[in-house]
Amino acid sequence: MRAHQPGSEPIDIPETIPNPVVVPKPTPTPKEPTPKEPGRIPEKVP
Amino acid sequence: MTYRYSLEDLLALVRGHAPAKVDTVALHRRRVEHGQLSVGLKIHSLGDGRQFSTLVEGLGGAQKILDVNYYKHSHASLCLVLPPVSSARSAILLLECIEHFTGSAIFTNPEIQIQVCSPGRLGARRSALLGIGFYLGSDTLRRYTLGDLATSFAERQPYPRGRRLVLYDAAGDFDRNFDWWRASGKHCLVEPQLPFENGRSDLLTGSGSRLDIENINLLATLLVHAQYQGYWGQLGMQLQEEMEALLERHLLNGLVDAPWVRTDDPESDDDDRFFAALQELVAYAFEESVRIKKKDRLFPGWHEILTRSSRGILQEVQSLLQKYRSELVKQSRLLEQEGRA
Repeated sequence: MRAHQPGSEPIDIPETIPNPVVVPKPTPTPKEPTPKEPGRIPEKVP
Repeated sequence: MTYRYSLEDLLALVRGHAPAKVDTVALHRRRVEHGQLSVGLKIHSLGDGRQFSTLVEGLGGAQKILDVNYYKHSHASLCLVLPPVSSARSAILLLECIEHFTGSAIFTNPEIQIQVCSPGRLGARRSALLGIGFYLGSDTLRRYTLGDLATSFAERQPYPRGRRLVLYDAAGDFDRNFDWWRASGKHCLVEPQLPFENGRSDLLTGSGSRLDIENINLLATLLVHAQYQGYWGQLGMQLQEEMEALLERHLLNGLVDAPWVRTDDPESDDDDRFFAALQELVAYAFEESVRIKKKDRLFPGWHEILTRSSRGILQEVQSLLQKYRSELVKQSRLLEQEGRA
């Protein structure tokens, strides 16, 4: 096991990895939607 | 599921931090989506659980909320049981409301384990398919030790549940008041209650995601309907056959014979036999992921080729879940249209 020899990098076995075939969905921003601005009434042209 | 508070109490408490989401959950609390099963959740906190203190106090204190529940993950400081809601969507929103309130992440947080609870006890074989489908369909591939699956009920009598991904209930409170789509010939009869007085199949996801909740809800719906003559029973049988064929193609069909859930059958009490099967699945999935990454480096754009040719198990499971999700929604919309006509 070369990687266990002194001076070499230790073997890194991750406990979890991303599933490579799952396309990550954008995570929803942890915000509540801001209240809509009140609709603006166009000014009347004289 | 033992909890001594109502969903309304919880929603009222967290409303100030997430009013729009709380209102959506409240509005849809009993409205099942496409005849899918209701969803219960348990949150196991592997850290000190301090982020939940205000929430627990607001719901009546640890003695009332937490101590009544003997069940929790062996490494957890607390297990918060949430009242069941009508759908995966509402369950996700409810967890997001709690995230807003506590200011701390629940999804894909290594210190939080999410347990997804589905009504109805699945038989041994279908429990195996639920566990395997969850694992391969998840956005995270995980390695486990048997200790990761230990709970306070692993050996506790009279409901020893073993160390498993799939766990039956321990005959606690059960909320039946969700619509059940029953098959009547080719017709669908909507009944106001679930057809069982008690019984659940839970899945200990570990550090879980939104996709995990959606996938478990889909798989559990189809498999439970197949077992209890629900409207989606035929689709569930078809899923079961396709999953078994898929496992056979990958020479993994023997995995289904392992005891993925501990039932009343004494032969199902062998944690090691289950764990050997889980490890075989994990090794296969990790190997597959290495193969995909290598291909990705050598042949960029291979994903498009794969969609047309023989694919690996991870891709096949994604396609399978996608296919059944679309089919269920399509058929449910047709039913809706017929109902309106």
